[in-house]
Amino acid sequence: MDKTNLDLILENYLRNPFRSLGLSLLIALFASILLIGGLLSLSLSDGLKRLSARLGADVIVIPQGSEINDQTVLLQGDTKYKYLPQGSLEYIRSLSGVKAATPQYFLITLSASCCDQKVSIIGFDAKSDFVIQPWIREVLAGKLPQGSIVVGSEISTGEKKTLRFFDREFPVAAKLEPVGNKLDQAVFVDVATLASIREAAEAKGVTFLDEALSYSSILIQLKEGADVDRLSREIHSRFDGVQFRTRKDLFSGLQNSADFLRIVVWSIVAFVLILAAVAVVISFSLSARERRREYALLRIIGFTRKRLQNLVLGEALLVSSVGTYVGLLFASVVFFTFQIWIGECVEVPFIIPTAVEIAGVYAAVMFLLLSVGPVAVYGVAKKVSRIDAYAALREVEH
Amino acid sequence: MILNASNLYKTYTRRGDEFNAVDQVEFFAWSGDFSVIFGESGSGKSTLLSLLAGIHRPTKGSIVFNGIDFASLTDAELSAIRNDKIGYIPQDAVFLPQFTVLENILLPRAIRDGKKIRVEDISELTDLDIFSKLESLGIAHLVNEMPAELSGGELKRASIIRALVNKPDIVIADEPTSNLDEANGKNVFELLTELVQFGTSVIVATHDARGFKYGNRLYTMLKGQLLPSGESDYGGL
Repeated sequence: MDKTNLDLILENYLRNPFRSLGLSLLIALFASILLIGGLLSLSLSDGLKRLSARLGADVIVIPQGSEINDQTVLLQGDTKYKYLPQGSLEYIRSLSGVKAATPQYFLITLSASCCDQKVSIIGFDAKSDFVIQPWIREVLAGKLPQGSIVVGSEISTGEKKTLRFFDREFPVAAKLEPVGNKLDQAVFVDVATLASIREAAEAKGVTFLDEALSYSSILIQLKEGADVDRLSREIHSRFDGVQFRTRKDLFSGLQNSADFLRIVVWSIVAFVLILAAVAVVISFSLSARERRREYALLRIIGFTRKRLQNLVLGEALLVSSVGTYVGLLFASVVFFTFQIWIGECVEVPFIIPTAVEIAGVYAAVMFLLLSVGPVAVYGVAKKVSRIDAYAALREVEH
Repeated sequence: MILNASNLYKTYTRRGDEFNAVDQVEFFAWSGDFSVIFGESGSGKSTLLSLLAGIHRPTKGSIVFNGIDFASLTDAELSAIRNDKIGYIPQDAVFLPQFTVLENILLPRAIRDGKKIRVEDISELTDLDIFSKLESLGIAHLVNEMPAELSGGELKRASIIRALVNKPDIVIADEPTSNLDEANGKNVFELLTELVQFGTSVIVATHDARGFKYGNRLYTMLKGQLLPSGESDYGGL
């Protein structure tokens, strides 16, 4: 674009600041909603993906009465102190279709040196575990040292890198990557360390319902082609008071919540997009009508139809650009300042996307928004380019 | 011959009836001609000028400018001719309100050269002879004003200077002395006469009787038809 057009575009933008800035602010609002919506949607998607990957099991067996409907078991590390019947692990391992089964144990402490809130302690059997240890291997080379613990991403370990449970210090070997739910506030220990924590608790006068360490859940990996329904029937016919939940069951509620949130977000985005486009079209139509004589003059002194069209499109692009950059700046400040609060509000797994993913969202938002103005006013620009310069001058003159 | 219009028609439809605003016009102009077209309002003068200036396409007939038929030109080619070779002065002065009078005057040059419209330093424009023309029309002191600050007559004179800024081969002026007092009207005719002396062809549509004095080809427009009124070998000299 030559300097003449650039000058005209800039001056026309500044000439009616209320109109131009008003439109830019509308685009900025749209940019903000689109960016936050995009990042939110991606965060939810990443959270669910990470959580699903973390589960590592095809089926989970838990005690009846655990709040499985809210996906609290495993997903939130809260079993309400219910345990599976004795012998259930051995029986499950003996069933055909089961590739591997591993138990998990849950303890909930009312306080710890790390946190003001309850901390879930999740114990795993190091020999058979195929769920927790792969997570640990992501952040810790080698085996978990005896007596050490691994903590979720949101647990603060202080300079000493230890956590105190019932007056006993436990060294923190590693901190896990975030998954976007209460597992980020959990502590992971092997069975021996869990027994040590129980011992410390008992020494402080805490009593447990069961004397021995009981399973809170059993996680099952299935063989290829295993009949899930038959497995469920076999387990239920042998034990009362157990629930059998597949990965799909566990995630359907979360998936639905995430899908609903996405629909809400994208509906708002669509509404604001339409609003922005309509406002831009109306504003540019009115402006084009007001400026018919100016366009006529430009035609008379040498503007081609194409150049006149580009002038209008350029003005729309400038309006879009200012709005986009203001909106992106505002939304970035809001989203990254309040990301933790947003994550808590949505109540589904929420992971801040990677830098590459974030860059992708910014690029997509910029592309969409920089085009919304020119695309919306394309019809107006086309009409302006077809102006009958002579008639436009005479309409006003007479 | 610089301009030759032949068998020219411009037809409009008004309340379902067709009428010829320009009706079978034959017109030619040589370099250094001062053609003056008289006629009542609505006689078709402005329409004819818009056709000759390449602003409008005729319904029928041909316009050949410097040997090039307008009909054979693309929009870009015709626009370039309007910008550089034809100086058109509309009946009512139109200005871009966000630019100064000087920037408006220089607009055709900025468009031709693809340069900025904003004039940052007026001293850089000393190569232009527009200042003498601005002086001759009495508006040199107004060039840094915004168009809204000027009267209708002052804008009219500024629009005349704008039409000359690219040193066109032909100047087409629609009522160039309307809104002007006696003295300023005379100055405008004298400026146009000066152009004629340097070989520019000038075509003026006017009610102003002084046109008889300055024109060397005189016409009358009547219901779309162009009728020769007289001819002088020396125009206004």
